[in-house]
Amino acid sequence: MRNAGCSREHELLDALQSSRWPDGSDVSLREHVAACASCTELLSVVGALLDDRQALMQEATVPSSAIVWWRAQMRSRREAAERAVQPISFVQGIALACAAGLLATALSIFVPTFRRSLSWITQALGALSDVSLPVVADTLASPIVLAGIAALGLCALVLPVALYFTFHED
Amino acid sequence: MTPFSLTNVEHLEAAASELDVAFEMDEDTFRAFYDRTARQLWAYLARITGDRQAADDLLQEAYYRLLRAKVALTDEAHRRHYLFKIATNLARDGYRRKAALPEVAGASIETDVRDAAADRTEARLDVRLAFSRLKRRERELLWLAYAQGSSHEEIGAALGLKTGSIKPLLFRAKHKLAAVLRGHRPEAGGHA
Repeated sequence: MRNAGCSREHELLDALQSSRWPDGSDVSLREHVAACASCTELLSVVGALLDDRQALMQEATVPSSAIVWWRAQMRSRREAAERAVQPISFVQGIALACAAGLLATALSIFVPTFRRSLSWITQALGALSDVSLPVVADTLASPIVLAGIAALGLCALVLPVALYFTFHED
Repeated sequence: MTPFSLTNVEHLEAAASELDVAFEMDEDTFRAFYDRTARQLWAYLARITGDRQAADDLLQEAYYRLLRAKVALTDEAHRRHYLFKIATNLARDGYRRKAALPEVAGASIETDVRDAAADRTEARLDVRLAFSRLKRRERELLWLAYAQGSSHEEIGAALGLKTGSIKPLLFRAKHKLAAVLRGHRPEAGGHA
């Protein structure tokens, strides 16, 4: 397939797009189009597209320019306001994560039930000490260290959630 | 007693107006530009997406992004081409999101069929159905070149293609559309 088309296609295209086809165009162009397969093909395609475009533009129910401008203004202001409060939300998220961590620490130290619920870590560490790291295992078996681990774990869970709610877009 | 009072909404608007709302166009310029181009853009979006609802949504998003664009738009033509570029990218994003749904193409055709039946215009039904059988880039190329009357340079800028590649791509797309149209309408006689 050749990709060049006919040399007079641009004349035909210009006549179609400026609504000069067929009456306002040269007789020679009309005769050429009647005999040229490439131009005939262009005529059918462009004619169909222009008709379709014209009909679509008439059917279009676009909002008024005043409405679009007003919505854009409102949206821009809302986004600016959201940007303005983002740092506050971020700090709130950090504070929430820290508070959750402190709560977990306090529970681990002062509430035996909660400490027992972490016993699976101690059991896991028992297995670890059997391997080759008894010092590490003993250290981690301390309630204070366990509390710290629980606090860090909770922070790690809460912080991404807080960051998500800070930066996500509706 | 205060000499005037503001409603809650006015208070909010007054507060909001202090925030950043800098647009690249003033209101009068925007509204005039919108009035000249909105229907053209809607037609383009409706045809390349095959979805009028999507065209409604994308239209407003495209103008919003144009307003927020930090680009020096020197004249009307530049502004229009930039708008179509934004719209094309938005439509492509939507197309990619929908690509995972296998029934979309069929649904689009059915919607088109219903719309076209309402129009009772056989030729337009042909165009809609034919467009639904073309690739996304072919639809964009054909519409910009033949319906919108854009130059190859403008099409290249809008679609992210090299200017030199437009001609062969357009030739093939035109040939394909003509073949599909002939398939729908064997006696296709053109635009006379």
